[in-house]
Amino acid sequence: MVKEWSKSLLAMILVGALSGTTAIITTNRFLATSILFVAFTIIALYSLDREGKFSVGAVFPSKAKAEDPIEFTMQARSESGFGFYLVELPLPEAFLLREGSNIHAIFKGFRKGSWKFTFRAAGMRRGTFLLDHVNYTYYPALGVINKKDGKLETGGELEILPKLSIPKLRVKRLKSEQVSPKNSISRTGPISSDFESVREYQAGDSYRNINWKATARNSFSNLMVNQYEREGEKTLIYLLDRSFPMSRGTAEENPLEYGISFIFAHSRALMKENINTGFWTAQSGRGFSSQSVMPSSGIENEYRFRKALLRTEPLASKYVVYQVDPKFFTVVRETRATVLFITSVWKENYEELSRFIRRIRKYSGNVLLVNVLSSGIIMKHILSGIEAFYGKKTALRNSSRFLEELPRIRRVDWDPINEPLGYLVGSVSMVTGI
Amino acid sequence: MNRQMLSLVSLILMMPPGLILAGSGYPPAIIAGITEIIFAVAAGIIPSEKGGGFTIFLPFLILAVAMALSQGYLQRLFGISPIVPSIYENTVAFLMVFVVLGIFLSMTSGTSKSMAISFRQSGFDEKEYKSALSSFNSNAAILGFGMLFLSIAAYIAVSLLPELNIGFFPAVIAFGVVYLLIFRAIFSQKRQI
Repeated sequence: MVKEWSKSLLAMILVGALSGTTAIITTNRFLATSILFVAFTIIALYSLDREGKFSVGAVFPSKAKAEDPIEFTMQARSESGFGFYLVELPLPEAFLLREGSNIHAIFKGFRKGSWKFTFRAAGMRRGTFLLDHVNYTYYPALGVINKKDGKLETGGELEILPKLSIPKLRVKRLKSEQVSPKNSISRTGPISSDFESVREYQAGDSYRNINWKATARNSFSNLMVNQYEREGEKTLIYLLDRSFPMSRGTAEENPLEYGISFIFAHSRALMKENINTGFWTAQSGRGFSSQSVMPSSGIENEYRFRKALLRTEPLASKYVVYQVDPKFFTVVRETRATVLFITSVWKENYEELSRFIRRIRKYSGNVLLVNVLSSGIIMKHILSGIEAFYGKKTALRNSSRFLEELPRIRRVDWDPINEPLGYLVGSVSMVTGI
Repeated sequence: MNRQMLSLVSLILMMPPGLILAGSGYPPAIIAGITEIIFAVAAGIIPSEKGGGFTIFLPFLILAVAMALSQGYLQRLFGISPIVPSIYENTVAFLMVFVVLGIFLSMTSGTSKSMAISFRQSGFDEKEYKSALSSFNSNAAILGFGMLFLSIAAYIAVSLLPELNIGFFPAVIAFGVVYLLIFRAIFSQKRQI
């Protein structure tokens, strides 16, 4: 574009030179008008050809549900300059344009201008997306100065929440066929007056709780204290696997995304029941920069959950080594929490998973493995339409050799393509008793 | 203003000198006039995607050559019989500024066409880029016509100055003021860039 305008400038100079030569040869003074025209046009274009004062902003909601169309409004304003502006609000890969476009072409002429553009796009997967700048390119009319690429801050963040409803937990409570330990009792809430047990004195215990009769029966060898239940019911901790098998499928549909949807719905339902819920991720590599939420309940914890879940991303490495923040084990032991380990058992992770499950069981006797089956997801995208026939049994048969290698542990298998989220919530509720 | 309209305006602007020569009844002038009209039509109708090409200069070149061989040094030196009849010399010379404006608008039309292709290939919304290009065409036309009137006005002003008989010193002062104004404008422009 700049090249075109530079050519125009050269052409005008050529015409001006030709006019001047003709005027000299012919000695005709009327040809002066041609020379003046060329000179004035070049001066005018040159004076207009300066860096434009340009501002642009983008307006969009801060929260939206996945797949729902979101309206984006871009407002641009230019006070000087003479040329084209190409404006773009860069959308992350997870977004799909529904109506209009996120790139726009504007021509700024002699007058000040303001432009407004509206388009609709939908976020296809959950997450927190940074839409903090608008890119623009200014092509000055004459091309004397080079085109200018710029970036203007808009300071926006957009949260895309999974599209799901919160299941009701207490409508039907079925009894599980699997034997499970007594529900975990919270050790984080305030102490109630309900007696729980007698145990040995530990540093930090209140003297008022010393049970002198029990201490006497023990021949005063160890001080015994009464332990009381704490308020706030049970504690459940979600441990989410982020390793490679959790990414099987597409960016929008894979075991990790389904696992996150489940945690979103289930945790909100539990927190409504005043059950303490926490969240950790199992990851590979050094350092623990992953998201985590300490067990608690209430609106603030709901917010923490939302933030952590929206920022959880899969790990790209095929090499699976499970590591968890050491705090996780401390909290599990201290709160006697039920651990819900959400994973997808496959050839890449089953060996490491066996080792890791044994380790968790040292800290909690109440561990439930939620195995998100990925075969159905893959079938849906390879042979669309037949995924309904590709049932859970087939998926389990495919992964049976890996499942057999795992230590004996309570397990719920979930085929997210053929089984609704409510089915998993019900199954988990039945097995954990929460 | 769309590109076709711009081409039509440029064609109309380039035609008058050719029409005058063609209607002069003098054979060399008729040939020069018809040739200028043909090239003007070619330049107006088929502006190149590369900003005009060489075709758009031909109407002006024909007229410039015809004028150069009709009056002035070359004609006197070689004693060539003039192409443009003497009664039309000043009219054709004056109308050549319209041909230059026609060239400018034809080039704008060519640029507009190439930009439309580039916008379409880049996936811009058709309605939107057409509106931007229409605005570009209109602004270029306004600029072109504005400069045409300014150049004619400047020529008239310069022609009328000797009639005012303002004297040496006022003339030097007026020149100094105009020179300073132009210098200041250009200097401030350079600073901004």
